[in-house]
Amino acid sequence: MTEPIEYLVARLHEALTHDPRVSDQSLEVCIAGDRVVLRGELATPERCDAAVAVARELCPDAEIVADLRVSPDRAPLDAERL
Amino acid sequence: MIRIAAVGDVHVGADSRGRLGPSLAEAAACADVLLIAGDLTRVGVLEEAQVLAEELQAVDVPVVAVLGNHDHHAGRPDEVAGALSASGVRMLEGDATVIDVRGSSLGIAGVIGFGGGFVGRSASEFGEPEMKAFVRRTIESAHRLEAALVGLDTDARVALMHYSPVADTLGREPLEIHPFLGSYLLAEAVDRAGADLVVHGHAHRGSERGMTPGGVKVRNVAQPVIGAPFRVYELEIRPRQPRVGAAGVDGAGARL
Repeated sequence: MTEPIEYLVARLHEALTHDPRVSDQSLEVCIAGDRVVLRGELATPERCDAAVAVARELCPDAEIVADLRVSPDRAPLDAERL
Repeated sequence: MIRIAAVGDVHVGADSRGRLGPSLAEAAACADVLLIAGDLTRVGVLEEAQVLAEELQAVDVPVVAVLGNHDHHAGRPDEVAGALSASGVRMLEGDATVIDVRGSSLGIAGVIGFGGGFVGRSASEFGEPEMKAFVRRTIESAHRLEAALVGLDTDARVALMHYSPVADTLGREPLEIHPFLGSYLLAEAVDRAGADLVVHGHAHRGSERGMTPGGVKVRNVAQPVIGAPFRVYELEIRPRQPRVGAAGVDGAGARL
């Protein structure tokens, strides 16, 4: 019997949380056909690469689609007056 | 006018060295203080705190911070807070600090906060010991926040926390995890004590702007939400009014 996709998504979330290369709970994970899609923002490019690696390790036969952003390092131009 | 730069969830690790400092240093040009709303580190180890301390050396305004859940992960939150305190960061947990800004006083009260959820859909201190302990932690955090705010006799008061006091700023976060993202008890504490602004993080898929039921502006400054190294908020200093709060304390600063 094929494992329901929900459990694989849960395992991916757990792996991204506990793998010390990533340690992030906020990434969105979805599986569409044979693709694993990761979405969200991480602090460094190294963590984005690691998130893809973690997904690839768990799903070696899947295509990993990474829609990941590195936290911006440019200062804001405007202020909000409260 | 007091200018407050704020960011949360910077999640500093060894791979962050050199990335954060240059942009945060720009806070000195456009703000009077930099607030960091928890999740200072990736997994809460001393080495990560030391990297952040090094990055913050370039920030030429007072830096005030609280810890977040990531800073507790390794079980050594005191080491993280201690390293940052030693480098000059004002670390808050159930206490407050006052900063003089060109003759006006800015009081900042801080706690990490905790979860439990929001009105009508929240956990109660009921049932198993584990559930009671979970909710008790939030109740105690809210009490400490309220006491710290009440103790501030300043021209402006800001409540700094990691968890969210309102659902307003949770944006696209799934409803199912709201109880792990914050608690209305934190908002109630703010509304009872009075404040001019609440700053929090934690909800990466949240939205920036919200308000407590009592009308205090809430800003979620988690870095993925603000899409910038920090945001700047300008607080107009108004004439002091008598404080009206549940504690019945006379004084000044609250603007309910």
